Amino acid sequence: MHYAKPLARLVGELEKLPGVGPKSAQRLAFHILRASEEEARMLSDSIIDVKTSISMCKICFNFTDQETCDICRDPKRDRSIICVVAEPRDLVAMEKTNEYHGLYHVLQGVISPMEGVGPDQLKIRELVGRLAQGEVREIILATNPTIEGDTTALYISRELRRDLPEAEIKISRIAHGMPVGGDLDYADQATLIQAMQWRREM
Amino acid sequence: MRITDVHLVNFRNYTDQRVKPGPSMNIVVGSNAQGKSNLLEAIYTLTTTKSHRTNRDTDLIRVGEDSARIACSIVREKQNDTELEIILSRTEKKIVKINRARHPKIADMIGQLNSVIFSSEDLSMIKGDPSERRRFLNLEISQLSGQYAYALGGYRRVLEQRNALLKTLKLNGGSANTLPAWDEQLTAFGSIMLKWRWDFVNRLRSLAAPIYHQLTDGSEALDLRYEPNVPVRENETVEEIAARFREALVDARARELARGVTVKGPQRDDISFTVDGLDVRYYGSQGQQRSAALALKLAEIRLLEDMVGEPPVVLLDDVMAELDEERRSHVFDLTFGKCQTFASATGPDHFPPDVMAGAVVFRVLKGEVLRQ
Repeated sequence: MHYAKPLARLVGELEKLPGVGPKSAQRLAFHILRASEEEARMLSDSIIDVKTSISMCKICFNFTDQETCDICRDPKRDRSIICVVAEPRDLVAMEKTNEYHGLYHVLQGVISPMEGVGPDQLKIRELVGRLAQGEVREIILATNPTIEGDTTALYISRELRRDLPEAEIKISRIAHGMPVGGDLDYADQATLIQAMQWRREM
Repeated sequence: MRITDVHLVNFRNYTDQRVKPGPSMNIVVGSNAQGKSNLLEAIYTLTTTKSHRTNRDTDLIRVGEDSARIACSIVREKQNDTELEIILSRTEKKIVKINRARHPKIADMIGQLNSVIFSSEDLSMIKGDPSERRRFLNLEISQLSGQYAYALGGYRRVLEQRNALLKTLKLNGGSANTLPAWDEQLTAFGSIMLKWRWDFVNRLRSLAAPIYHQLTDGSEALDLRYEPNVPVRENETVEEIAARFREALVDARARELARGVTVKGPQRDDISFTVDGLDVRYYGSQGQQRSAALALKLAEIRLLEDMVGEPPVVLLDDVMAELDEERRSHVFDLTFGKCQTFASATGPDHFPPDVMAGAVVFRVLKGEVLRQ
């Protein structure tokens, strides 16, 4: 394909984005080219702005434009409970429910030796530090139910039990199994096996 | 259980081929490299979603094409008729459809169609590497149990991660404090595998012994035994096996750290075959090894029938020429008129007249199947 050099550069940059293939990159680039200069500048400024002003919350490692995030600063939040998630997007998903009013802790990943990620690359030590302050009574481990997510949850629960043996902290794992409104007939076998394993008394 | 329709599009050397097999014996004849085995391979792939000949799905796509499609219709005695479909692509993930509905989990396909394949490679399974016998266990038990297929997938992933960790620890040192969490995962999946393998081999054992006895006219006795890398005892629960597996890992810790690899677990299992007390894996004659392999496959047909409730489809991939007349007749005795069978051969001369009389013959020529 023959693009003028600056256009080729833009297409090339856009192609690096997740979920954007050559076709989409071309469409986006032409869209930007046709837009007014003001619109284009707003886009490029917002990209630079997000890189320079967003950092990690000093407490929970969620993204924030201040020292600490909105949730950690919110006085109405229940400080005795922490929900541990792998990524900021998991926190966003949980927040959408409007049902959880405790604090969060974002690990910034999961343990995966194949990708060179161990506990030291994650915000686990910082989590232990938060618990040592004594205010927290419950930890909910809400990493994804994948091999790596499950192993990370297992590791954290073991570490916490060892480091804080006398502290009365409840450690729980989010439930796995049937989706709400799901049909047993359509559920895949892995999900059904999990749902049976994690069944609860009624 | 029988197949009433097979459709191949860009699978191996086929472009667009429909085959309507007969209910009993289907003889597929043709010269070498025309596509006989590919037809049987397609049916087997619909059984387990994977080929028995290759681990790379892209090998199954016709050269120069981006995707392939295989589909079949099945009639079953105890369940509704089913349509199965697999779409393979060079660039995207494999798609499986059951009754035209797409299933996000590929493992859902397993157990829909049951088939036993017997190829010339299977004849060498007994003298081959232990990995071939483990492959046999994985393929066959996965057909029977979604739980096993799920555990196997999980186990492989955990093993990969755990080996990566052990290798890093060996090369760079560092803290091994995540190992207990990986141990727990490894033993949870591994104990399900060990339990299933124990049950499967023991059931095969009692079925294979009388078949081997018949094959050798009562002159020799076959015994096969599961050789688990982590000891399993009779009537043990998965939890008890997992506990022993965990202990074995703790005992092997120093060795694992020194070698940088997982040394315990079902990835090191084997099956032993003994004839009159002699281990035929190492000391058997070629005839004994072949008879043992044949007895194992025939036992498997019986086992699948017992467990599923109706006879599986039997795929005999070019084995007729490899078996003597005596062994061939045993194969037909156990399958003919009972299991829908697809037998490939270079010519019709290996089939007895009564089998030929009840058979549908297909001729394969350069990727085209013609009913005779």
